[in-house]
Amino acid sequence: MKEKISLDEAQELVLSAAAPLDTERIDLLEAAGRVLAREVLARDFLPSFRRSTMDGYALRSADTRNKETAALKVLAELPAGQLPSVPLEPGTCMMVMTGAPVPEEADAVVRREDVARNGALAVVPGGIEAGTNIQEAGCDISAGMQLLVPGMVVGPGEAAVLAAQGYAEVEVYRRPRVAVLSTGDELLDVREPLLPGKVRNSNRYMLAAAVQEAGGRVLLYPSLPDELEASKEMLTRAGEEADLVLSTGGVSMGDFDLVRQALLETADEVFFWKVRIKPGMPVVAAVRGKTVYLGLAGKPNGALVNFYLLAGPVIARLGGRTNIFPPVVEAALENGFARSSPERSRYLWAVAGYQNGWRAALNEGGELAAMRGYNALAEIPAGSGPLAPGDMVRTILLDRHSCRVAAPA
Amino acid sequence: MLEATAIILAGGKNTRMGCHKAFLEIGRQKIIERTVAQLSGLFAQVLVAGGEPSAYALPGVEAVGDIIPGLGPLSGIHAGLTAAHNQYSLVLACDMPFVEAGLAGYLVREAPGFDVVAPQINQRLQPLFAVYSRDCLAPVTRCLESRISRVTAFYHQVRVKYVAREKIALVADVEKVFYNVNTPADLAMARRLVDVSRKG
Repeated sequence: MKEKISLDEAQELVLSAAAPLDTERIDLLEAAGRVLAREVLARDFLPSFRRSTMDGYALRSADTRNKETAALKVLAELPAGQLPSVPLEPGTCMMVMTGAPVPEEADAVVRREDVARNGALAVVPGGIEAGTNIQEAGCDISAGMQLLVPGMVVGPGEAAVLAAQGYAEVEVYRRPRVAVLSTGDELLDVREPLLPGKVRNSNRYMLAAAVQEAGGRVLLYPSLPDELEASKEMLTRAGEEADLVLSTGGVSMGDFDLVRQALLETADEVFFWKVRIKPGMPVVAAVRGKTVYLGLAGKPNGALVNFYLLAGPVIARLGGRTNIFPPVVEAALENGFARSSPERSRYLWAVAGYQNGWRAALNEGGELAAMRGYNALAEIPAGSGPLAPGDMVRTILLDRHSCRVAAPA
Repeated sequence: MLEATAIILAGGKNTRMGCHKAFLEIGRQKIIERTVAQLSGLFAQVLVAGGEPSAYALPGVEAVGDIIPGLGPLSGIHAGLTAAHNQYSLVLACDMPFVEAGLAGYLVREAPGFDVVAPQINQRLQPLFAVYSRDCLAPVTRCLESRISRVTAFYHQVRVKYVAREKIALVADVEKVFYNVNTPADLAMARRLVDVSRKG
C-alpha cells in the first residue's frame, strides 16, 4: 500500500483495476445516455433514393437546352412517397413534392414558382442545368459507412441516426452497479429531527446523486457499523453485488479508521491510502476480485472531490466510455482566493464559462454551501500563494448540463 | 451514390433449376429486377454481364455479353470489368435475392489499397458478392486465355482483403445476404424468407 501519492498516480492505480463491463442489447428507446459497445455501420443510403429538394417539376434538362422557355407535358403529379408508374419521356415532366423520389429519367427539378401552368402543359425556363434541386441517394449517409464507434454515448442525435438506419435495438455496455455505504452510527437520517451534537447523513444522498450523474446504478447499503468484523462482512457482500463500492469516512487518522482496516484484511490489494489533494486527502483504494473499492473522505466536500477525481473516471471506464476524464481548460479567475496552498493541490467548486476566453468564478461559502450550482473544479497547484482575480488556473469542466453554465457576470 | 459499378452476373447454365435463375420470381419480382431495383441510383453504373445481353432489357441497366465465353462467372466478371467506368466494381451473382446496400457500400468503401474485397464466412469465400478493381482485368484475362474458370484462381496475383463474419454482421444479416437459389427447394426457402421479412 502506497501512502500520500500524487493524484496522477492514484488515478493510474485505481483505473488499472477497472475494465469495461459486459454488454447487453436494449431497445433504442431505452438507450439514451447509454454507451455503445459495438461499431455501427450504415445499412442503408440516406436518402435511399434520388430526391427533390423543392416542390416543383421534374424534367430532363436536355429539353430546356438553348431555349428561352420550354413547354412540357405534365405526365403526373406525384404525391410524397409515390414512385412514378410511367417513364418520363422526352418533352414531358412530372410534378414532385419536396423530399419525393425523382423519376429515373429526370435530371433536374424546376421550382413550382418558376413554372407557368397552361392546362396540361408546364412552361419552364430554358437552360436548366442537370442536377438542379436534386439530391443524390446517399448524399447524407452512404451505406456501409461508419456511423458510430464503441464508447460513444447515445444522445438525441445518435438516436436519430440509429432510428433512420433501422436499428431498433443497440448493443450497449451494462451500467456499472455502484454500492454506496457510509460510516458512523452517529449519523442521523434525512427524516430524523436534528439532535444536539449530531449531523444528518448527507454523504449517502450526495453519492447517490453523483453515481447517477456519472451513469451508474446506485445500490444503497445501510451505514457501516462501528465494528470491524461486521464492516468487513458488509464491504465484502457489497463487492459481490457491485462493480464499484464507495464508502465515506473511516479512513482518516482521527477516525476509527474502520474502512481502511477492513480493506487491508479483505481486499486482494490495497493500492493507496491518502492522495496529496485538499480537500479529500484521506482516501483509500483497493480491489477484490473484479470489484474496485474507494473509501472516500468522511467530509462531504472531500468525498465529492474524491468522487469527481477518482470514482467518476472508474465508472466511466467500467461503463465502456472512451473519454473517461473530464475536459480541462485554463481559465481566468473572476475572484481571488486569500489562502495559500503550500503542500497539496487544492480543489475549489467553481462556475466556469466562456466569454472572451475561459473564466471561472470560485463559489463562495462554507464547506457544504459552496457545493451548489458548480459546473467545474478549479485546481490550484501545490506551492501556490494567494490568488488574485485574473490569475489563470486549470479548471476541470464537470459534465453537469442541469446546472447553470453561463459565464459569470 | 457510390462512385462504383455494380456488375450483376447473369450467365450460367442453370442446370439444377431447369430455367434461368435470374428470372425466377420472389415476392412478385424477378430476382434480377429486384437486384437492379436495389442498386440503381445507388451505384454510378449498373451492368448486367454474361449470357445473352438482349434478355436483360431493363431500364437504367447496361447489358454486356461475354467476350471470352464459356468459363462461367469469370467470363462475366471479365466482360463486366471491361465495360466498367469506375475503378471498383461490386460483382454479384444474379441468384442472390437478398442483396443489402449496407454490405455493398461497406465492401466498396474498404476497397482503396486492394484489388479484391471478399467476404469470408467460416473459412468460406464469397467471391460472387465481392468488390474487384479494374486492375484485376489483366490477371482475369490470363486465366480465361488458359481456360481456367475458377473465380479465385487469380487472387494470389492481386491484393486481396478478406472481410470477416464479425464485420459483416455489423451491417447485414449474414445468414441471409449470401443466400443463393440453386434448386427449387432453395427458391421455396427464399420465398418464405421474403414473407418473413415483410411481416417482420
